[in-house]
Amino acid sequence: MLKSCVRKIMEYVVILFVVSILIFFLIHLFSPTDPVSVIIGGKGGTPEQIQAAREEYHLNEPVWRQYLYWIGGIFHGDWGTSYKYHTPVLQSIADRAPVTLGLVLGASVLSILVAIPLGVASAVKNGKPLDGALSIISLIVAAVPPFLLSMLLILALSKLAPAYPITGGYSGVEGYLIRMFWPCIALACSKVTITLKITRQGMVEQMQMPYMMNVEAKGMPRKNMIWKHGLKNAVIPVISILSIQIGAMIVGAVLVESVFSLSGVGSLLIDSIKSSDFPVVQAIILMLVVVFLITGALADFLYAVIDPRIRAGRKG
Amino acid sequence: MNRGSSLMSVEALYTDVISARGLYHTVQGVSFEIGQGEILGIVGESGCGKSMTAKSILRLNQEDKTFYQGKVLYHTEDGVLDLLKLSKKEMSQLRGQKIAMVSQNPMEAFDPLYTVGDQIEEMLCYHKKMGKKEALEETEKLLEQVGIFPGKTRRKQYPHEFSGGMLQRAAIGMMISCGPRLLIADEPTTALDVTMQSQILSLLKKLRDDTGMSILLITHNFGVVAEVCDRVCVMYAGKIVESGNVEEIFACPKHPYTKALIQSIPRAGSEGRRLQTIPGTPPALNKPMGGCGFAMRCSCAQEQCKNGSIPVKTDSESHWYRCVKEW
Repeated sequence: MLKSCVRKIMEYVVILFVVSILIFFLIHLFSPTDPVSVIIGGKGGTPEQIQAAREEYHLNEPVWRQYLYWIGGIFHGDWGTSYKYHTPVLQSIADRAPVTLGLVLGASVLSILVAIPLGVASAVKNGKPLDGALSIISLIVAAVPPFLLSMLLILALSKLAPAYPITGGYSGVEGYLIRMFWPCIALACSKVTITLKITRQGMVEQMQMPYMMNVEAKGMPRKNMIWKHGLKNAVIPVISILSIQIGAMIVGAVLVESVFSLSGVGSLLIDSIKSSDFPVVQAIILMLVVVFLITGALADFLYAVIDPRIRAGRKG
Repeated sequence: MNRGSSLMSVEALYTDVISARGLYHTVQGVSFEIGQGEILGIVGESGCGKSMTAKSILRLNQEDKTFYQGKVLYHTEDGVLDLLKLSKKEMSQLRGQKIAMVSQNPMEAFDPLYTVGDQIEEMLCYHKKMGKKEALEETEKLLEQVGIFPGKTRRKQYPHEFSGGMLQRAAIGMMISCGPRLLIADEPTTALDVTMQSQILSLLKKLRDDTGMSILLITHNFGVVAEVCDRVCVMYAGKIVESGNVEEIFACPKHPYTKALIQSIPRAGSEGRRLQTIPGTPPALNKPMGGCGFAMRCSCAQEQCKNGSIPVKTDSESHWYRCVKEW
């Protein structure tokens, strides 16, 4: 167990190293924009200004040296300085993190809470009217883009509850939760369909497995068949898809964020790409990779918790 | 226990199943009786409706795609129950408690994600309302009763850590955990190797002797019948074509199908000779069929066999067969 953990961690270190090289060199070697113009604000500065900027940001040194400065800084908790705002990158990201965290976690939890029970219901009523209705509704929900849904929600809210704080700032935990609720709904809707479909598919398969007839022959009630045996067996592909979705949602939330005038990490990334603010872009992409690795590891861990055969395979 | 008195009687059972390829008449008017403590065998080739008969007794077929007719009468101390008329809930309470079933492939009989012990305890806690600790001890005892030692460690193992034969023992242990009066064993040895087969069969026989439960043994192997059964029904194309005590059937089989089946058992002393087989395959059960289902494969079929009515002839009080010809 310990051995495989160490091996996994080594694997992740190698992946992060390779990815960091790729990100850095792709951006610095192939971007058409000169960082100096971003740093001094696009106006043609004086030669002294340009020289000062080059020195401050190590731009007159070879790219590989710049890379070492970057990586070395990260080990000391310094993720670099934004070209555009001249503030620490980590600070900008930390400012935006609550919105992203709230959106991604809130939307994930909501979509799981809705999709799994409905997927199970759909599978149990395979071919019945409820299954058909859920299939149509989930297709419609999947077809509505999240930004459109966001706009519709805002329109509906402004008509039905004009006092509801849809835009603007918030204060305190309560204000945060109230503000995040509807964006989470909008984002969750776009994720419900795939989770529902995968849950349904897995459950339909499990309900036809030979062991399931045995559970019935044992005289177990239907709720044991469905929840204790069926769902536990069907849930592994659902975990796979969720672990991928969570990382993708961080950037995917951008449209919802912008409609609800929230600024999260996703919109920071897009803005930074547009304005060639390389340090911010690098940092966010590297963090995204870390998030993907963590959710992946978490998924692997859950597989092992659920399935003894996977545990046995790990040991061997 | 008063051995011999009837525990279950199936009367004119018809089971029709809707599938993608049409309506299948899988069981066509089957009647038989199982006495207390008796081992009744149902023999026939694959696709003859044996398993369907077994599943129909427990109503394990998909509810909305299966139609039952006839009666499955279960005799209790306080009266007779028709299983086909019970509510879903009543049926569910009977399953596992009074009538249990061991299925063909032990490798697929357990949920792979729970330990073998968990799955036995699940049953004890639910039916017998046992506490966790009591169920645990009972599980250990059951495992050792079916020859799995030591019960204490084996119960904590997962199905993939058991061999096929051990799993089938565990499945039998699980199914008898609540002391059923009838155990339906659907091809319990088909997926196992030969040495394991005879061990499982003697285990079943021993359990019958110890507990006095009845066993309905479904098999395609007449050798298995000879080893454990008291009485046997030969099934072909959804119907029982011959029924009698095992000694009678082996001594003087009447129906051509029974004879052919018995001739196709490999025997010691017949080395070098070609083993008898029955040409052809059983008919598909999705078309209506007149006459004798075996007529197409029977070497002595007459005109009447194909479309006419097939009379039932009795040879002795316990032995009857369904054939046009007098044998």
